[in-house]
Amino acid sequence: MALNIYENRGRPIEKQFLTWREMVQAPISKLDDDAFTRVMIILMNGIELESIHFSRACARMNKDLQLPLAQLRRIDQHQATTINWMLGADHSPLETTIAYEQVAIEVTAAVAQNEPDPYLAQVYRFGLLEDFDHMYRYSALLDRLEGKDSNNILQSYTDVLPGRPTIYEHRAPEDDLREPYDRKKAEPLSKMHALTIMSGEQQTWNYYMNIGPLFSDPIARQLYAEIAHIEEQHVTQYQAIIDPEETWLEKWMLHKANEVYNYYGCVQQEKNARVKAIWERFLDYELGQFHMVRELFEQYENRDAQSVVPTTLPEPFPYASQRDYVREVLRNEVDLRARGTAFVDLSEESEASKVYRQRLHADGVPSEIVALNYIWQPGGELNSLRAPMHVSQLQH
Amino acid sequence: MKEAAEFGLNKTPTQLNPAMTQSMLEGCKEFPPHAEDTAMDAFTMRKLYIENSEQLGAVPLPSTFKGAVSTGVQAIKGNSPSVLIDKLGERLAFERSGVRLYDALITKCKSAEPVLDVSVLEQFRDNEAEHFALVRDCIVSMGGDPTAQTPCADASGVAAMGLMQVLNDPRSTIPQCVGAILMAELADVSAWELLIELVNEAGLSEYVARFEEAKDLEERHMQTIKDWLQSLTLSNEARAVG
Repeated sequence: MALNIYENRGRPIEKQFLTWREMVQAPISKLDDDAFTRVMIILMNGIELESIHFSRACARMNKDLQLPLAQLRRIDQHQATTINWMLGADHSPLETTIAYEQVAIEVTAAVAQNEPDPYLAQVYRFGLLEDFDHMYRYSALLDRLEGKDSNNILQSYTDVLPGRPTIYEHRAPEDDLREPYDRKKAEPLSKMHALTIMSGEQQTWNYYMNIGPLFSDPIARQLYAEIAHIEEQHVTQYQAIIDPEETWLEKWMLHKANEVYNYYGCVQQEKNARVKAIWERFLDYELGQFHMVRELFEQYENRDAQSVVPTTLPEPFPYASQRDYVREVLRNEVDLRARGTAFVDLSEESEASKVYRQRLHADGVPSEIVALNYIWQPGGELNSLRAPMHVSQLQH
Repeated sequence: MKEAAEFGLNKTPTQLNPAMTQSMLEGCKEFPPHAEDTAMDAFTMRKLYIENSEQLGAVPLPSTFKGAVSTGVQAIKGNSPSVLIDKLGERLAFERSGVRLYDALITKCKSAEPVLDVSVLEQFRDNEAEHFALVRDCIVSMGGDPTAQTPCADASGVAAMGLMQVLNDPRSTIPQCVGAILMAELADVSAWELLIELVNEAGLSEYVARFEEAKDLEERHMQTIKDWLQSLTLSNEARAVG
């Protein structure tokens, strides 16, 4: 059942507060909880972090809004902490990376299928095949560096297969821009999708930029450098599809509506009762925050909030394996490339991107090196080797 | 109670999802790996970095000239004085971290039903602190600065990061924590053996006997911890061990 965002007033702002003990709760179990519990945690952390990033930028440009922005940003901070701290310390940074890519694949695939705008759906499918390949490269790294099977994180929901090869994903900046939706014509669902995927990609970029230097292995350090570069391209792509003509307050209200939309999806689908209770609490918080921003929007812009956010929010996207859809996209679109804001066959790819990546790859390509001949096997690739395992089999 | 884990719904086995796993394997056949660029391989890349890398850092020079030319450093035969300073720095750091590892285990044990003798753990923790002080005094006597972090101290600190994580995780069981402490104690005994040979070679006779005592004590720690782990694992029931 869809949520009526105007009827539900949520929790008043002054009652939204968490103690350190509430923010730092027992984490989920890496072994026993469902992979989609972790997927929701990672995505919602990304949604909260984007809310904070946006709020800071908005405050720098709008003196009058600085206080309410600071008030809501502080609550976002508590929410993001509560959510992100749900990940246990038994996840190695590389295992968490696998989970981040699972978020990118399953959520982007679900969004691409629900997206009403054909061009935006194409944008999502384009990004999807690139994140799909990152999963394959990182899985090879996890197996060959730490001796672990990425499927312990994925729980068989998500494939470990080559997608659009990462080596071909690096583009000149002009080929990462996309056409924006029109704020006056776009479906509300399109706006929710764009904010959601942009938020997820932005936190992935942020995460890789922070943990890349934690690795001692030079190939791991290079692979994080290489894929973080593509995450920056993805953020460039996804922020470009959002109409830059939206006003600051319009964007702020859309951010809050999107948080309501996403928490509602988590409340509906989470199976772990303890985690679900957090989603319910934060849905209540976001409704309260939405109404505070709505009032500011109506006060400053003198127009009805319902002209931007409809009474009833769209149905949430499903948290489920999108394997068949992803493979279909892989079969049909792996050879697509970008030329300006258009998607073209690889034969028509822009010269600028080809030259750009040639320079980047001059000293070797980590995504190629790490995954040479890698084929996923349950329990790791060593299971596919003949015993005794001679050195020649183990070298890659 | 932080006893051994029980059977339950662990979601990591592929056999829980045979159809999905089979589908994944079929996907591997339809979408096989294909190399786009083989100009560089993993070994060559890593070798390039290894050949062109600096070390973690340098061993700090003794802080006083007097220290550098007198006593132990000058007397060292057949080995570089920097090796001794580096290994003493490693032992210093390891014993200091050892105190903190025992602190974590003591906290865990005091928070659960008594399966280990906490007074024994407290004695071991105090021993680690005494060994820390012993190594500190040795470094000072050589004119070294015990506040410095030497390269071997840094490397052993990196190696011990996982132990610290296991011991401080509220979810880890006492047997898991005892297993982590055992790894530290096993490494500790071997390290003391090596250090005794080094100080002996360097002619620091006054420390040889004291380091021997420390090693003997660490051996007793290791054996006790090993026996505890065996007892906790094999009996798998809540009873006092000590």
